[in-house]
Amino acid sequence: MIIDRSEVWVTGVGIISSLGTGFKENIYNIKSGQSPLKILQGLNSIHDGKYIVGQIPLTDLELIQKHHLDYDENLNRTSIMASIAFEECLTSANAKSFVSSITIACATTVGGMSSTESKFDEIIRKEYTPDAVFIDEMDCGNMGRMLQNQYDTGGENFTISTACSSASNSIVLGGRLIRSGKSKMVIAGGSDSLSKFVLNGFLSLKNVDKEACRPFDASRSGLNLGEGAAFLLLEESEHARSRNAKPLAILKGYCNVNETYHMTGSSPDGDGALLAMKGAVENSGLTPEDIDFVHAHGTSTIDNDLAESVALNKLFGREISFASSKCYTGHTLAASGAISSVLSIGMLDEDFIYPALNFNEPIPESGLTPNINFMSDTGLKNVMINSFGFGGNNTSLIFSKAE
Amino acid sequence: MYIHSIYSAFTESTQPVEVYKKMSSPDFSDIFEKNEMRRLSPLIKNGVGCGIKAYKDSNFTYLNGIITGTGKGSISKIEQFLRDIDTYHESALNPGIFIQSTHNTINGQLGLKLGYNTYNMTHVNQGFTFNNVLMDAQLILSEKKEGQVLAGFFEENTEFNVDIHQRSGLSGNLKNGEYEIIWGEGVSFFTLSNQTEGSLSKINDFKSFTNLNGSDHWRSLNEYCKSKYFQSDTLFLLGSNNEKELSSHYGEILELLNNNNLQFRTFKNRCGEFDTSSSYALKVAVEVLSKNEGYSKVIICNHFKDYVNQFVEISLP
Amino acid sequence: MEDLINKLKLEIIEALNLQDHSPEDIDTDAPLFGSGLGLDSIDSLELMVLLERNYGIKIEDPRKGREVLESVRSMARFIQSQEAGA
Repeated sequence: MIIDRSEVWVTGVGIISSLGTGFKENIYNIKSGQSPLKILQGLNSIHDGKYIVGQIPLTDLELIQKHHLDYDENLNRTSIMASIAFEECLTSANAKSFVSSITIACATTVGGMSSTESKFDEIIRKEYTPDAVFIDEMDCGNMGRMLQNQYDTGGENFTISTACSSASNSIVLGGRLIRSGKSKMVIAGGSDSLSKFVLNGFLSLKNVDKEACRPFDASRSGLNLGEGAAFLLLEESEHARSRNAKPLAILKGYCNVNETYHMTGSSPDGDGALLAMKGAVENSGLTPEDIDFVHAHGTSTIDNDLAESVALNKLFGREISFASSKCYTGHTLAASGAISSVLSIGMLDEDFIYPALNFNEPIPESGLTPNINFMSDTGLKNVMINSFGFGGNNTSLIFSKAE
Repeated sequence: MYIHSIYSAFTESTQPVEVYKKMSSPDFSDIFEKNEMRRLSPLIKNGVGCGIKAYKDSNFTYLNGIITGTGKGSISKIEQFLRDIDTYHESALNPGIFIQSTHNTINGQLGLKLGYNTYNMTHVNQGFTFNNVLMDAQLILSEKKEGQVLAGFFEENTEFNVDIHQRSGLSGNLKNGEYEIIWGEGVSFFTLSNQTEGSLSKINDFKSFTNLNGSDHWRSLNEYCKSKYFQSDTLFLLGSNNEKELSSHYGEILELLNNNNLQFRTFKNRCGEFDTSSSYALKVAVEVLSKNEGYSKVIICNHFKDYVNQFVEISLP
Repeated sequence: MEDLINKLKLEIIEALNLQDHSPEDIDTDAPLFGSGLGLDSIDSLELMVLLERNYGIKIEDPRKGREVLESVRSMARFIQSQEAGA
């Protein structure tokens, strides 16, 4: 892979998650080592009050009002969170006057499902007639369309949906568009909201933990769901320089690859995860020894954490520093790769590593222990982010500190 | 970008429909084991089947990408799971249905069955999907000098989906028992590379235009067509759903064709309307060129709903 | 017990969409997973759905589920033990 003299800079970020609203609040709160995960409420489900989740503690209307959003463009929770994160990203990058050059690459698995499911039964019984807007917001693509409409972005508009690796794949696409010279600026990321559909879906797979999740722990028994959105402005470095934009971090390398083991389970010998991680390292021009920290996918499911820790051991050895942030955010599905990326950019910027929570004993097959103490001033330079999705879709990203 | 093979499943009948134009069910018994078929919805069976057949017909020996796109994804399974949530009061739910509802299921199955560890992407982006997939494929081919890509489109429809489109007015008016817009579905897969040898046709150009960025996307499309020179052996495929749309949406293009003695056909009377209908038009274009009907070039001008349209230029290799 | 076993076989065929199989094809004592019918982890979850929908028995832990689902006979025994209020 020939890497150009120009680089892919991150010149803006935006985020909303259970850790808070905005970059500053998210970074401040993850440093605290306190999990904000709480018992699910207000989903109009029999599971309300029964599961720990990463829920944003505001209703849709409260979010719209708090952030002065256009009500007509933000009719479902996924779009609302996307708007909030997108706005922060664009503003923080001082890029509003450059929208004609901006391509959107976003990601979601559920789209407007929180809205759809609230009316589904009434529609079936012909008690409610949806209008054209309601129908279109059911689709994954509606979020990106709404963002392009709100902000008049002049570039292309992409929406990727590959389960849990979706937003990471949007970032990969953004990187590729910039390295190829096709775009100068890509806002890449994703959004997913909690919904009865998804909660019940994961419950049917029996891999949800009622209690707080325990990533990479031998006794782990499942994930905690979450919701949130995050976007990164990826920009070609010369273009950024020409408008005096500074890099928050550099997108150094990436790799997306499918494994060929089984439709829903990852290969226990970690081969799929290994392919993605190795591929990202190669793509970045670095070596495995250069990776200072791995921001793991770490969903706390039996399968994922086994495969991922075995792969980490194979590529990096036991001493690698790694942790999952899902005990702080829950598993935010499509958004998870972007949320982890933004958190990692904060880590590179302030040189800290958050502590993994709820860990007691290593998984026997790998023997790996995640980072369990708050660390600072370790000279963090290169962070890898892993996102592994259903269907064996595996993606790894590498962000480097901006010098 | 050269097309080396295609395999598809569309109805293609011009007969009046019961609800929507249902895609065909090719025989894929040589691809799936009996045990596998039981878990595949018609959409997933067609998606995986067409993908594998297109790959086998291409004589490719490796792949650098499996890239697919859909506007709405596996809506039949989404609807089924939503109904079950209600019927079974959110308990005793079937995980197989949930998994089949995830949009990259076909991609995962293709990766698994073809046995390649490769770039694997699913675009789910309403009317932009067709253009997105071609851009992504073209990007792979620019990154890998002798790259080979399997690209595909899959769309399914349901009675529920058609019903809400009709009730909301998105199907236009009811005339003589038929709506102005008849919905459809279908699957098509293509193999793509930058090598001429062994190819069926060449995609010279593709662009989409939208009004979401404040532009007039019909004006953009019309001006784009007018900026090009077309020889007399060029056929246009226009994406109008009915006579009304042919004059209202494609009026200026028709004028251009008239003035230059260029031929056109419509295609949605065969495949119906859906987010990725340009994929049907692409299949038709490849067939027209392969059949020696006297055309060396086909231009597709298509639209979906009121926010996006699509231009594609395909020629003999 | 035999009635229950036959009923179960029909229910398994329906739940897992094993269209080519009849109850006679399913060996009561053969392993359902691995060899035998060659079912996988998703099938085991779907069989747990069958137990819940048709017999009102809910198994929370998929690992416990695999023990119960070892064969048709072990499933039948489990159902009977639950119905006896054990």
